[in-house]
Amino acid sequence: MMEDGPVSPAQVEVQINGTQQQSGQHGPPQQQTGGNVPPQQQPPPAKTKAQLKAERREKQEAQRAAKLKLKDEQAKNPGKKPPPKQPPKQVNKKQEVSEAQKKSDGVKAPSKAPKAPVVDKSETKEQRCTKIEMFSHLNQYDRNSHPTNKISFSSSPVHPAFVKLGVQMNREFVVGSNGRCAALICAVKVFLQQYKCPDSKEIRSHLNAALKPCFNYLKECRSMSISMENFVKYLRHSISKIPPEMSLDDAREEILKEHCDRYFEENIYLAAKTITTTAVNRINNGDTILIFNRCPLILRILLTAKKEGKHFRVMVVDSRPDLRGVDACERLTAAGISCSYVYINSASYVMKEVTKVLLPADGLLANGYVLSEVGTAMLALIARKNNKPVIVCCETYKFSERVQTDSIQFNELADPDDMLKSRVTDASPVADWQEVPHLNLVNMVYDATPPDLVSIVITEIAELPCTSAPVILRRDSERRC
Amino acid sequence: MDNFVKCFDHEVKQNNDTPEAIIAIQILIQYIEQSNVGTLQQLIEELQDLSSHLKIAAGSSTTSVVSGCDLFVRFITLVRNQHSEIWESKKFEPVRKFLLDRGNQFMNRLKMSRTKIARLAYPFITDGVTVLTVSSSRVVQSILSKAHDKMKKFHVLVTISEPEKKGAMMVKSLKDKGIHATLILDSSIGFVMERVDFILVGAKGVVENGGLINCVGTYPVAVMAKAFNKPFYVASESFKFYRNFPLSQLDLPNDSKYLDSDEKNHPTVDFTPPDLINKLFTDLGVLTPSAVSDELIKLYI
Repeated sequence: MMEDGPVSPAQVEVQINGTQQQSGQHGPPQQQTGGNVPPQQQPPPAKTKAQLKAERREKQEAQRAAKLKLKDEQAKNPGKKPPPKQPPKQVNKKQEVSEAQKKSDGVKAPSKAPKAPVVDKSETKEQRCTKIEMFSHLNQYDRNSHPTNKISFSSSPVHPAFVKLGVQMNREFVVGSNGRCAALICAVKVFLQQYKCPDSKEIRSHLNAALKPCFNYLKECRSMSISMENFVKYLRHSISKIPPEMSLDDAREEILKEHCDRYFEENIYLAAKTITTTAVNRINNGDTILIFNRCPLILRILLTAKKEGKHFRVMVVDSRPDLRGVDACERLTAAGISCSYVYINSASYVMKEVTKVLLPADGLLANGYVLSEVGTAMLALIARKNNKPVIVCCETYKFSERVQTDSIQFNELADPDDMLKSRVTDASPVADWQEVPHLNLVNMVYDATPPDLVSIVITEIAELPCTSAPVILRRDSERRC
Repeated sequence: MDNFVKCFDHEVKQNNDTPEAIIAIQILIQYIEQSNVGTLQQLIEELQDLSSHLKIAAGSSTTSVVSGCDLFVRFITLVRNQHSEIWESKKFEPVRKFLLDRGNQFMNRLKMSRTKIARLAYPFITDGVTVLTVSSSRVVQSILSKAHDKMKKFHVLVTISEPEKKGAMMVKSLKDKGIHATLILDSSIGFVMERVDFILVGAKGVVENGGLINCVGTYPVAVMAKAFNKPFYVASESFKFYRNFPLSQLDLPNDSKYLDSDEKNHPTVDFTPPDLINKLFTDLGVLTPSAVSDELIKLYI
């Protein structure tokens, strides 16, 4: 994996030390005098309080001017990182977020599915770190930092399996909610097979502590999806239930087989099968089904329905920047299903012909909102206004206790430069957006669909209305206790 | 098997007041008493077989019979993990006895359901209101008589509900009780809607998302109620909760829609989506449509 940022670990060190210096200077005035003047000397008693105050103010003004100068210099040289404002022990928290998710194949076996990247990311791009006020609480994409720079090789090491996974997620070799969770389960299994517990410590606390830096590192590479978060919660809970007298081999066996393998089997593999069977029953002959982008579960449902001999049409709605709907079209037409292809701009135009809308979900929140790929909420709204049923397919392990009423509260921002891609023209009219001072590109990854726009959610347990999400969560938490 | 179906038909004709589903469950209990099966699984299969026969015999109340029988079988076999001495005894008699106990428990609860609903719902009828109802429903009748017994003065408008004209029967029985009732045409609901305070209907079935299956003509009333901002209430026993999830009118099974399952006939029921329903009065309490799924999940999953 080529590093694209010019920042090396040594530079990170310097900057961290630089921060220390600066934050020391920004501290309360007493520390300043303590740092610059040896402790034995006393300040001359002849100066009055007002004079001391004036001196301090002058010093502060001088430092402020120096800081502004430094900032200006860095704006001119965008290759260096700006000084972070956090305490010096923490590493720079600017996270690298990859572009909008592509969904991966290979849901059946827990294997990583590498895909050739569409854009050659090894090119160094100098990018100014712009922050938009409204999205300042979200993770902003920063191409300058490479995820592996953030690993410290001291007391809490990150296992190589997780390092690899982190880079793969960051560079988008592993995408999709199911794919990423399956890859995480894989990495955890590799970690467990090589895990050794010191005799003096209990397995459950040591193992949890050993896994913590690995998961933190993954979060730095790319924010965890709901599927991954739920697996991590489940894993922590099952590790904490290991009795202290169990031997290491037995514990390892139990976690690997019982928890990891079974979690994958029940929640991802078999759930997909059950959802497919249930959803296929909803497809009638003569239907026109609208799908969005490319989701393996939805494609599986359509291909299975075709195999069972149903006659239907598919309307594929595609959106930039990735245009994955083209892949979906290819797969469907190869199976003999007649497809139409539109961009999302013309979705309201074609909605009259459609009889059903079939959408995937990345997560289902406790207040019934469906978290999915950006563009899904729009399609659900148009479908609802045209009185077409909206069917969402979601496994129950993606149900989350989070509550969200809009798409901005929690989201991811992907690489803005991906929005410059276009099939039609070679150069986008906003290609020089970084030079324009008041122009920002925002590439959102998720959006939240309100429950009144969704007719039915198909899960492996039952077909539910959207509002029944908390019931399933309650039932799961009761079962766990 | 045929004897039981004949018995069912006979009972239904004799007892006009009891819901068909309750009669069907009584038949199922009688079957458990008299059957000579050896295993629980076999018994469940035979009960399901009998239910499907009863469903065909039930005519227009198919959905409630289906849901009632299904819930009954589910309820009596639900507590398998407790009382392990019964299940381990290898004899069927203690199992049968256990099932009959549970069955009778279920029955007693069901028989009380109408009175419970009346008790919960009658406070919604205040003095001087005008209530609109569709066709004939015994649950609605029991609510209205309870309100009348509590000395409330109100006026009821009943749609005639062509072609069976069941609304006429409803008006007659209400007048016999001394309630002020008027029969109106199905087509005149637009005319009366401005005078109506709220709409109260019964149900043939309540589906998983809280939607309503009732006599054809209920859906337009619900849509009008929404347009006029009038509350739309449904009174239904809990055994009518049905594990189906229709997304449109076409998704209802054919045999509940049409007489003689022939598509050339006019439909007998229609489906009202849950967003048009304000509250459901059930023996489990006053529920919103989204709570129906909750109740079903508790029992089934």
